[in-house]
Parts: sequence; C-alpha cells; structure tokens
Amino acid sequence: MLIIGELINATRKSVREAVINHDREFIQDLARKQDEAGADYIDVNVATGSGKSEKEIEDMKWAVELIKEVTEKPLTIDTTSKEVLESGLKAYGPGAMLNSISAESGRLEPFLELARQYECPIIALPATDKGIPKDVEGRLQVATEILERAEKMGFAKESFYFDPLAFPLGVDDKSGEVTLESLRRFREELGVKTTIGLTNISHGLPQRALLNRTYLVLAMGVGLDSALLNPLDKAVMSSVSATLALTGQDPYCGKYLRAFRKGDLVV
Amino acid sequence: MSEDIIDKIISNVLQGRRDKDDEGIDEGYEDQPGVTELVNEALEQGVDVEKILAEGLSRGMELVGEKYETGEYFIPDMLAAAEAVGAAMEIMEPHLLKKGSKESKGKVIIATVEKDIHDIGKNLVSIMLKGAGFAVIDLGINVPASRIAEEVEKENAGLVGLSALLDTTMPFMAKTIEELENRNLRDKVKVIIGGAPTSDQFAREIGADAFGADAFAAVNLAEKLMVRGGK
Repeated sequence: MLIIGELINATRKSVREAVINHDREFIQDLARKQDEAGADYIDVNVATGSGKSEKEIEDMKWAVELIKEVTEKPLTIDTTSKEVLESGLKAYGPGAMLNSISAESGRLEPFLELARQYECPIIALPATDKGIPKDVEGRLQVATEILERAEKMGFAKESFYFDPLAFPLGVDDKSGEVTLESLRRFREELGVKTTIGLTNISHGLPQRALLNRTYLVLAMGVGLDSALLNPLDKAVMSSVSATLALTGQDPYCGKYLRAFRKGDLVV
Repeated sequence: MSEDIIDKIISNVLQGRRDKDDEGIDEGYEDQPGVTELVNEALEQGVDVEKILAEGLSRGMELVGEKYETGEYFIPDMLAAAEAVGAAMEIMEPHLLKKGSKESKGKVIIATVEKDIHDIGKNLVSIMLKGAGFAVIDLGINVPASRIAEEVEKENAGLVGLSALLDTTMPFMAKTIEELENRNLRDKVKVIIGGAPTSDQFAREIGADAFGADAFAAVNLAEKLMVRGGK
C-alpha cells in the first residue's frame, strides 16, 4: 500500500500562506512529519490562487528544492499545468511521481513526454474536456482510452495508478459506491494499479475522519494499491496497518506488530 | 388558517421533505404531507400564490441558509431542501403565470470557465439560485468566454456566475469579463465569481462585482445585486 502524504497543498490555508511568504521551515516541517509518519511519497501542490502561472512555476521549484533537503522520500508533483510540472520534475530529478494526467486536451501526451524524460510513475484520472463521467462505465471507458494512448507511446501499464475520483458524498450519495465499483473494474478489466484522493469523499460532512478511514478500508477491500491521505492522522494509518494484516498483505502480521510496538496504533 | 399551512411549508422545507414518503431530518414526520402536497393544499385553499412563494418556500430556504451558515446543516440537508422547493416551484409556475406575477427574481447565466471541468460547486450554486427564485441558465463546464458573452446578450441576463477550481483556469474569468466589455455588455450585467482558489482580492483584480465563498453567499450576492440594487 503506497501512501502519498497530502498535506503540502496550497489549497489549504496554512500552506498557501507559507508558499506565498516563502516560509521554508513550515514546508520542511510538514515534509519531515509526513515522512516520519510513514508516507511513501510526499505530494507537492503550490497552486495558491494567484492565477499567475509564472508564480506557480517558481514556487514549485522553490518547494521541491527545499523539501528534497529534508526527506529521502520521493515527491509527487501535483499540478494541472505542464510548465509547473516540468519545473517540479526538473528540480527533483528522476523518480518523482506525476499527479496527474487525464484525457483533457493537453494533459495526456505532453505530460507523458515529461513522465518518460523523468522516469515517473503516473496518476491518471478518468476526465475529459466534457468532464468526469458520472457512472462506472463512463469512467472505465475514459481510463481505457488513456491507457491505450499511453501504451501507444510505449508506456507499460505498470507505470500507472488510476484514480477513479471519489466525489464528495455530500453532493452525491452514490459516489462512494460508484468509486468502489470503478476501482474494482479498473483492476479487473484494465489490470492497472489504483489510487484515490481519500479525503474528497467526506468533503462538507461532519466527522470527516470517520468517513475517510472507513472508506479507506472499503477501498482496500477491493484491492486499492495507493491513497493520497493525511499520514499524520493516526487513526487512518492504524486502519491501513489493520487492513493490510486482515487482507493477507502483511506476512506474520509484521507491519501491524511493528506499528503496535512503536505505539502508533490507535483504536 | 393560511398561517398554519405557511408554517407547515416552512418546517417541511427545513426538513427537506418533498412529499409524504420522505423521512426528513428529524424523526416524527412519517406520513405527514411534504412540501409539494402542502403547496397543492395551500393553492386549493386559495392562499395567495405570491404569499406561498415569499413567506413559505423562499423564507424556508433562507432559514436553511442560516442553519448552514451556523454549521447546524450540511450540504445534503441543503440539497434535500432545494429539491423539495424545486419540485414545489413546478406546481407553482402555472399559478404564478396566471396571476401575471414575475416568474423569477431575474435571469442568471452560470458556467465553469474554459479548460476547467469542475462542476460540483457550480451545480450547488445553480440549485440554490433556483431554490431562491432566480431563473438560472447553466451553460455547463469548459465554457469559452465568447460563448458566455453570447448567452448574456441573447438572454439579456442580469447576472453572470463564473466558477474556476484551478489556478491555471482563473485567468479565463478575467478573459470572460474582457469579452463582456468588448461587446459593451459589462454595464448591463453583474459578474460574480467563485471556486476554491478564487478570492475577494482576485475578484477585485479582474473587475468582477463580487466573490462568493459558497452557494449561500452566491444567493445572497444575487439578491443584493439583482433584487436590492446593490444594497
């Protein structure tokens, strides 16, 4: 189970301020904490809402360079702009993850060229210029198209994590079900790895942590390979450990017991 | 008598109960009529259609908005209420027409700007504006500035609501406003913007009339700009 730490995201107010004010310590501290809490990748999103792309390009380089100083964990460059992506990948060097490509105009082949150049694993979203299909069939169809176009460019399916996009349950009470079914079918029919941006599901509802960690367990139950989440949330990380053990993915319950001995497991 | 049924309409809007089969938010509403049934009943009793609208449905939605703002209500509560009011409005429409009442508080064009496909927030705003009595024309997602301006002109809309969820698409909000200026439409239409990365400051920078932080803020702005003449 690949954990991507979600906290360095400038749509969060404290991070936005830190990026705007170039507060190195704040960003480095968040990177360090997520690393220590067990994140395998650290996501970096520096979209502060300035609406100015030059700014975001510079901020990405700034953030990647200073995060690299404090963690060995690879980074996930989180942007919808090719230029920002390139700036992040260049600053990191090979091995960062690309978050994300889609079938929207300009977000597939040009992004994949960069992924090839910098040897990136890639998160792919089933979105087109017409939006995100509401149903499982529609999402599967777009995911298939993305995979075919990528394979045409010589990419192996192992390079991808497909994220079916968990819409907030608060605005669509079928979203949880549609996302789970999409995860299952992405795996079974396309044979690709999957991931989800976990905390989307609970947006706008009370006791979000409860929904998040329950949903994570359900998604792992259909074979989820990765999740973008808050690794500082001990309850959610405990659920990861427990679910890995319960689904036969933890030989001799080793990781579960290690987490227990370190005092990391909470109920 | 008419006060009773108006009160019932308000409380059922608050419960988000479209009809008698809806459970509602609190317990104890089983088998009681919901908003659509109550509106029919009120019309049969001869309660003034404008009164049903203003003192019943619209008042109910205002209270829903207040409860959302204080954190008592969540988005699903609000959606259920808006849906109940929407269904009731379909019953009300022929009666409003017959009476020669204004069908709506004004025409609003709403769109997610070019290259942006996010529609959750925009859809909520659209639903809430409809619930508040505005005529909403939702152009969907990824809508070019020229298309938005064309629709404003064609529909003679009083308000445009623009949504963007990405730093990279925010500039298309500015482009849309420029397009309105180029077509000499900017003085005739108010522009409000919203979406996670946008802000009051950005609204000022691009010359929009206002920024709304959520769907209720959008409704308040629409009321202010279109109904109360900017006050």
